[in-house]
Amino acid sequence: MRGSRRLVLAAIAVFLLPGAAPVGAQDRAVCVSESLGPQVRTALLRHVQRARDAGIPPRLVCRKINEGVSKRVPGRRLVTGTAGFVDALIVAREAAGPRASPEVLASAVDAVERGVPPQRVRAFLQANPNPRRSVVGLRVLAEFTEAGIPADAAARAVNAGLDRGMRGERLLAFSAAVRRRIRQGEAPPAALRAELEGRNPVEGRRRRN
Amino acid sequence: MTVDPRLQEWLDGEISEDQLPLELRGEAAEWSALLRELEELPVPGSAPGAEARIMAAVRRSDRESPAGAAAVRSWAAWLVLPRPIRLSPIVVAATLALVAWSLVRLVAPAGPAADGDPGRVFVQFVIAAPEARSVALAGDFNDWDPSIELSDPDLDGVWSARVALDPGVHEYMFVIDGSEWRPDPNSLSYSDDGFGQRNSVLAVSPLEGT
Repeated sequence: MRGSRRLVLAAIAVFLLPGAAPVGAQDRAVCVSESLGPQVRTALLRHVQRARDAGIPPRLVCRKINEGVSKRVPGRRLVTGTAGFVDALIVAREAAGPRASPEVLASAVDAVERGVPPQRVRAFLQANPNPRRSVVGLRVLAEFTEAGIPADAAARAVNAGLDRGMRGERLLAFSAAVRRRIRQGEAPPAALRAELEGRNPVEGRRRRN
Repeated sequence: MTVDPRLQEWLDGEISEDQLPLELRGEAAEWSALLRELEELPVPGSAPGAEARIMAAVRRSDRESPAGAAAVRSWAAWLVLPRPIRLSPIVVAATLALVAWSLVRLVAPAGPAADGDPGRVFVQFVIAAPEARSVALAGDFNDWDPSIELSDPDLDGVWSARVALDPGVHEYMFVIDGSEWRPDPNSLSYSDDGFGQRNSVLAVSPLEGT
């Protein structure tokens, strides 16, 4: 009798602990609001399920849907935007591998959407397994590719910047400076070389404590 | 006052009332009435007949109630009745620590303004919007809920907010007057949001030593 009472007390204590509750709640989160209308809702749920079937955390798709809902994107556009995102997500997942973190996956999606071939994404991640390099590195690789720099040259330039210690906003500033030079008419190789040689890299305008 | 020895013997039960002389029988009747009144007086601390009623109820409940009900009563009594509890100091300390940790988790939910998180980095968001009556910030860090309000205390049209963010890459936009979504013109990078607009991209580096 005494043992069972202790068991009951322990169960009550575990039940009262608030720490474990949020995780379960997140996993069960229903991100597709009923206010969206039945057709839109059904279509969005299908894309959430498509991501889940591919082994992708549904919360990544939910976040994209929430973004569209917050921006008051019309229903049809919300569905097509979400569908495109899930398509890119599945390709990015294939390229990045099943162990890729959500942050790496998000950058890989951006790269795929901007035209970086999946095999280039995979190669870049294999060369840069540390997320501190790869998360921003993939973004810049995508920007260079979108700016018309051949994929091999773009990857080498990003790796060169990373090897020079460029991280975070500094790497984004490097990318912005290269693209500005290209827009102003410089040939991509010349623009890359000029910025890698450190000619007045653009500093971020944000202040940070 | 002295009591007649024969009356005393009768009171002690040593002789019957018939053995008393006639002159003592009137006094004996008075004693009998007094003794009956004494027997009917309530016992201090309990209601008249309470003991009998309680014992009858106990006997009735023992006969009538099933084993389950008895177990429930036992549990109820165990929960309700006060009792001394002996705990070692280490158990008390661990329990208090657990309660404190739970309260902290309950009171301080994860959010962009969790200033106490040592892994987070403060970022100053600034946008010039002199025509705006309100400016808010939304991004992947708050699930695109435009709940972070920027302020313009000196009314110069430059709105700002200081937000604690996790290191990594974040996409965000400003929301002007609650409806117009606008990318940050000072952002170093942008990303197509898939819905026809561009998100600003921000890379937050971890603080040195973290």
